[in-house]
Amino acid sequence: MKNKFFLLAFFGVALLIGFVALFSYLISNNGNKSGSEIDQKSPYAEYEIGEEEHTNFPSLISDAKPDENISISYYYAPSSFYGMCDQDPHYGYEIIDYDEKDGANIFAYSSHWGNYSSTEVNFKDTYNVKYVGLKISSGEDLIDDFYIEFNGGFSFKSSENKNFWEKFAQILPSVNACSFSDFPGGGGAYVISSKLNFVIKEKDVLWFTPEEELTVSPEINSMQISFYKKDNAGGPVMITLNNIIFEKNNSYFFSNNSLEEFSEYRHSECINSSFNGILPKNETGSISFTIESYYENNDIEKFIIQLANIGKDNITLNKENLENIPISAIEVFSGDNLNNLKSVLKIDLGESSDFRNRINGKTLFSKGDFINIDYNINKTNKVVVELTKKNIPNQNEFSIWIVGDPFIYNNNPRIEIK
Amino acid sequence: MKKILILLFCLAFLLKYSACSAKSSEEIYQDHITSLQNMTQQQLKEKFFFTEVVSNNIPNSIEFWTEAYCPFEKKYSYIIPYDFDLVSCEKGIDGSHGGCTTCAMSKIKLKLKPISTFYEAYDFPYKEGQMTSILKEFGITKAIKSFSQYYLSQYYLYDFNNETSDKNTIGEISQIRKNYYIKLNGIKYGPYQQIVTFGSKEYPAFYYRFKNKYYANIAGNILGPYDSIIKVYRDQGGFLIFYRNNKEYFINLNNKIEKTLACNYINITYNKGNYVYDCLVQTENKNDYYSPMSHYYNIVKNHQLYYLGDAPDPNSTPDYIGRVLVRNDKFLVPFFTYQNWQQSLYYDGNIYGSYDLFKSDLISENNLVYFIYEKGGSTYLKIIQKLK
Repeated sequence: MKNKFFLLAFFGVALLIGFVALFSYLISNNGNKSGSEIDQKSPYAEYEIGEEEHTNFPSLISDAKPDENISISYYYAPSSFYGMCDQDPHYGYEIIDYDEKDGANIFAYSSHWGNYSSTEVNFKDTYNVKYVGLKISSGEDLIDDFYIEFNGGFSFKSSENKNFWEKFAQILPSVNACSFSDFPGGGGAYVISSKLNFVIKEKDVLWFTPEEELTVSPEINSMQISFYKKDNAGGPVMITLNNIIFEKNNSYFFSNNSLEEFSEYRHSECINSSFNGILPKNETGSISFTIESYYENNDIEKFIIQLANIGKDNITLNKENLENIPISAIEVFSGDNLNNLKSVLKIDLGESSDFRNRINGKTLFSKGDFINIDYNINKTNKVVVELTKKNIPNQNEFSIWIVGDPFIYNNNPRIEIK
Repeated sequence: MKKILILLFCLAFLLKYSACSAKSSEEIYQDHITSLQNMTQQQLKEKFFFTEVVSNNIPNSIEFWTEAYCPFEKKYSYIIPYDFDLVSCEKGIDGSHGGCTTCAMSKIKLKLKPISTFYEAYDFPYKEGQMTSILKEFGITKAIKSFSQYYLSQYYLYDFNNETSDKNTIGEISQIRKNYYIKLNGIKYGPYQQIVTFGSKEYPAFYYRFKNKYYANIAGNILGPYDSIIKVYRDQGGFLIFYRNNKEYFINLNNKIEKTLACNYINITYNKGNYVYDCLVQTENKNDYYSPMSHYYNIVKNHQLYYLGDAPDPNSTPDYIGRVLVRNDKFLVPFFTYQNWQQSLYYDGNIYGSYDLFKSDLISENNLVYFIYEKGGSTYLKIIQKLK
């Protein structure tokens, strides 16, 4: 009797565990789909690994050890200005800076020169890049290809001034942006890169292997992972780098160093915990909306709102697309210090406003064309701009204007106008 | 009447500046020879810095002992006067032949430059309002750009006259995701991981990365693989590839490959089959806490090292590199001597200076190089003219 009870209890518990496991599985699978609104199938088939659990390395290898000679920083690219920090729910997702040619870069840290490029890495030994694990919490089905790129820098006499030139190489933009041959005299640089081929998906981590052989050495100082989207794909994307597995003498290793050691060269106020934002469906009709001030004779004379075409096609500004500007008004304050500001200009952006009338019907021809809407301000000092935001109901269709923070004049946010 | 006026003006000018467009190259050269012939022993001593004359055949040649190392050798090297060529140099015993007891001594033989390689150098006191007429007499039309004090304090000379080709004009580069293609002379190359173009439309060149190795494409000929390519040049004189393999640096000049010298900083300038790179050598000076590093500034011309000076501020960040300029197809290198804060100029094998300060850009026109400098509190206009 006692044995029967135990047997029944055992099966009961087993059944309960089975139900819980099944329920969890359904929940987790459902959760995976929640990110994207678009019905596309994931190109990455999931592989079940049974009871074994590890997220540091794929089950294709039996073991991988943390190695203090490998350091990787996780400075994710801001999808736009607001993306500098983890997403503030107040603003919603921002449009990812996607380029048809160069795709989207998931890493970026702010350099001395104000550009964003790659993330810092450091190797005290030589390794082969074997596996790259990415966790795509959202938008897995939108992405076509991943690429990885490492930049190396060297001085002509490596024993001296090594630090200077390594740091110099780190702040260079990606290979797409400029030639490394322009290194001025003190050294040179090189790039190694490869397409990433999908191999296995385990516990929400997609593991890739480089198509080309990638050998990293102490000369390597930065890394970038970029991706291309499928044609006409668009929607929320969230990617985190799970791990990179390096091989040396048939043994496997991964980074064991935190990113604090690189903090000297990091200028961001905060670090994103993932790469996230909204991937625009296409680049047609994207425009930037930038607020600038012109300085002449130490006085600000013009306050400029610039609309620039950064997409491929012509854009004609009309009532419909102007309706999607997420700001109803701009107010400019001026003063010697932030505690003593005086309102010097109010710009209404609403329907029938002077602003709308000045741009309505105007066409921005091809990439680079722009309109400046300028306002006179006389003899002002510091300028602070306040934006009155408004809700845009159809955010999911990405018909929103993204407005640059007025304190950052060189920011180039973007918007797609449908 | 007009011709007579011009002649009179030229004569007046000639008397004042010994330079007039009416004079032929042969006449200028002959004038120079005559001025050498008329030099006193003291004037010759001031010109050649000798302590003892071995043989004097001025204006044709002179051999003497001097307190210096051989030219371009190292610090305290003998600077050859711009109008003479070096025939020989022999190291002597320190302090011998009339030199100071601790001075390095060299026996130097020089010969007058032939007219074919002769440069005449003029120094005109700078006077506002007169510069235009002087420049005009030399056929110069370009104005002199003032040179800011800031540039000099940074030892940084921008090459205003540098001709950079529009990279887009040499071929059509296309990109499909991370694959790059270039269409050149009707041939499409690629896919490559990276393409960087050089040269001109007439002499195109590019380098590319394929399977993470670098290659250069010179007129359809593919050179490589290399670990990294630092620079590629191509013009009517051929090509140059500056590259790195197995952590060593090489120069391929028209298929002649040489390893570069062990310099801290190398910035190659190439022009029509010749190259120069500035070569900074840093050595530790353990005895001097406040100046732990010394920088020796050299140039390497077609694999031959020339010492120019101690440069620049040993405590500064090395951001001054890239000073080798090309003027009139010749290499021109302004350089600085940190110890006495003097500035000099290397131009086509000759050294001019030293000066307290360059006060303008180094401009070239019609086989001339000209600039403004300061020396001993006065300002001068320098014109260096190649006769042939």
